[in-house]
Amino acid sequence: MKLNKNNYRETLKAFNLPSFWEEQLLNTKVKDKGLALRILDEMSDDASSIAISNKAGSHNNHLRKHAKSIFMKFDSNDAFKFLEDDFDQDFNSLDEVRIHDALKEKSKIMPLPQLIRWVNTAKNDYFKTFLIREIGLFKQIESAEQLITIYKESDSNMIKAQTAMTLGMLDYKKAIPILVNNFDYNKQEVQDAVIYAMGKFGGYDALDFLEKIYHQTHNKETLINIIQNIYQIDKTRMVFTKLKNNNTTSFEKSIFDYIEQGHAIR
Amino acid sequence: MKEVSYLYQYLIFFYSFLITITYISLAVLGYISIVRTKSKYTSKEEEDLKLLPEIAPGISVVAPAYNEEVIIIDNVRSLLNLDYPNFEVVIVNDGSKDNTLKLLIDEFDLQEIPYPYIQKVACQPVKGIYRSINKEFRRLTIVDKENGGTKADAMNAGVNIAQYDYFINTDVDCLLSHDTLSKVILPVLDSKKQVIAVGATMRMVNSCDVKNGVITRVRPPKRIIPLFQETEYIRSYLLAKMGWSMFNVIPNVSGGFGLFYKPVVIECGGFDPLSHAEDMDMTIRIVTHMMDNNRKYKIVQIPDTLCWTEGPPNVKVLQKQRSRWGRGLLQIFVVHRRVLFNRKYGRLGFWVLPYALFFEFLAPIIEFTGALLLVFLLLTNQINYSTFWLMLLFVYMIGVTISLIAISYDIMTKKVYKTYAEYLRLVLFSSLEAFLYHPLIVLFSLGGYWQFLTRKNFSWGDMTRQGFSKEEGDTKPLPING
Repeated sequence: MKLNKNNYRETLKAFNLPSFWEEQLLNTKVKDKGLALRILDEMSDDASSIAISNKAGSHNNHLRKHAKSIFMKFDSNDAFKFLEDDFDQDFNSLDEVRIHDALKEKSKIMPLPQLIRWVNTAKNDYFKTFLIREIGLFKQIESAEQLITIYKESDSNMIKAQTAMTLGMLDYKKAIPILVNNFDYNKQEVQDAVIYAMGKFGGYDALDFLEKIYHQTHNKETLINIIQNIYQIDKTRMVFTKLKNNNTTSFEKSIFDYIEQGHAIR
Repeated sequence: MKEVSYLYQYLIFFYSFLITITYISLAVLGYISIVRTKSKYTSKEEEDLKLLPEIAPGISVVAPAYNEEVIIIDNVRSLLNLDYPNFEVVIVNDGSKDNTLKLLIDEFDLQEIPYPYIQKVACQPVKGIYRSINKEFRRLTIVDKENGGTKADAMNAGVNIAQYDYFINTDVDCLLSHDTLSKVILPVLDSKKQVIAVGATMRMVNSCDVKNGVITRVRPPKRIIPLFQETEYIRSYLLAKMGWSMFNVIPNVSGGFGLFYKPVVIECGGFDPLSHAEDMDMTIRIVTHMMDNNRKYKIVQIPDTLCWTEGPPNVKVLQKQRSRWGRGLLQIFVVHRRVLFNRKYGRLGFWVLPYALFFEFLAPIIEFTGALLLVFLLLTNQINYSTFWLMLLFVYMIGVTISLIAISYDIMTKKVYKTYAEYLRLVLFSSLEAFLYHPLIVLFSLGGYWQFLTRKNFSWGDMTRQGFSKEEGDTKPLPING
């Protein structure tokens, strides 16, 4: 049975529940404040973003970051202000989950702003990497050119790898020559990301590149990735069959059989 | 002789005092740790994670199985029913001589598949990999391998197959709570340091109602041996480990249940197949590896009960279990002796391992020699009876109090039993533990030390299985296989 949101909201207002929980935010106990934040998060639009933003300056790391992510979800005035300054000094993967949730909710109401703006100003590499991933998840294709610049200029393998993956998620084929260039000089993490991106791009250039690196790879796990992505984009199966028929080791044979029989996809 | 006796008695007094202070400190720290954890991670965070499969980290659940035909189907069903968006289940059939593999193949429509197996950590040869032709069981992978003699070897095969960066190390005789994965991954996400392992509370599944691999009603064990072990586990997890976790010095992430970061496990060479305490051995190795490489890390303990295991139903099986633990503990100090009192290993070298050496390893030896001395003093009329009874009562009451505190923490974390009468049963039996259970533990541990020192060849051993799914009153044990 679907929840009648209108009746739900009216019930909350009738019992004055949003105000009650906003007052609980002023409680001295951290545990009670935390509970109030969670309840207000569940109440969605009926929560006051002003009451929540007061907690965004809390000394308690957990409360502070939770408040910031809820503020992002509900504020209609300046929801993304906390994306400035790397969101929080204590930014971690749980914040990624909360921010992603907030962005997802916001994207249902209206298009998100270009996240690349905060990528350019971020100083924390983890936060940068996270935003670059979000660009891919929310399909912000307009950021693709700037991502190519980031890929070329960044010293961080983590950022380069995520940028490559995001370009793949955006299916931005113009990135192929950039990713192919200097592939051999990149760390394994970046190489794996480029292979993933090629599997997303598809097309002749990507397939040609994958076939080329197949013959150069010594890493077994990378070899599996390459063959998997070849199979994914090789619509005629010509390259896949050619490589399969020419493989020399039982390990390689097992890869081809594994992928061809559909066991790689679960 | 008198001087020796006096010296020994003073040492015992000092030793008991230190243990008491340590346990009281752990009780306080454990309480703080539990309160903090409960306020940070709630069902809201778990639900958020489950609703975001595009961002929830994948987890591999790895469980070795050797001659487990009685419980394997229930266990695998239980694992496949975990409530989490991205996970896989890897069962390692470690050369079972019974119908374990056949039952799995029949029940889950398995077929052998070509698989590009990469041996990242050493183990006995893998004979075949099986997956299901039924999409309902797409998360399941069976690894059939030659028997390696220990769980560690089987775990290594599972690690080689596991596709995700985090894996659960568990046993086939364990049932996991349906919300295990979302609970155990939250502290991993909520950390700036690399979390290399997470532990949680385990308790006994004996006497719980289990239907199709799902626990429908939690009860304390009816038999007294697993009932004592239930309280022992609660003390260990909710008091000791939660207390140690405040300083990031958890000495052991249990082999019955633990989440590990796979890349670090592989860097360490996987689980040691020669170890009889592969869980503590792995915990120490991953910590020392991180410290040797100057990498920050964290090991977390969460208070929630996520895993139910079949406890030893009788004294004979308890003896096998505890002698193995005894061998394992002594082996730990032999293998990792370089860590003891080594400044390089910080709190692990100066706090935790010395604590384990003096208050866990030496405890049975001290208690046994103390009992012998007591008999000597009694026979030679050297006992001051008023002091004796007072001290005995004090030690006894401390023990019971610690158990009571641990049980109250259990209720505070989550009331898993339906009635308070069931908790009362735990409390009442904890008052008998010092007389009925603890002396057995002391003797069996000493037996384990002796076995290790006399260097017998050991096997992992068979466990008498009761099975999970049972009708009321069906408690007849099934025969040991192999």
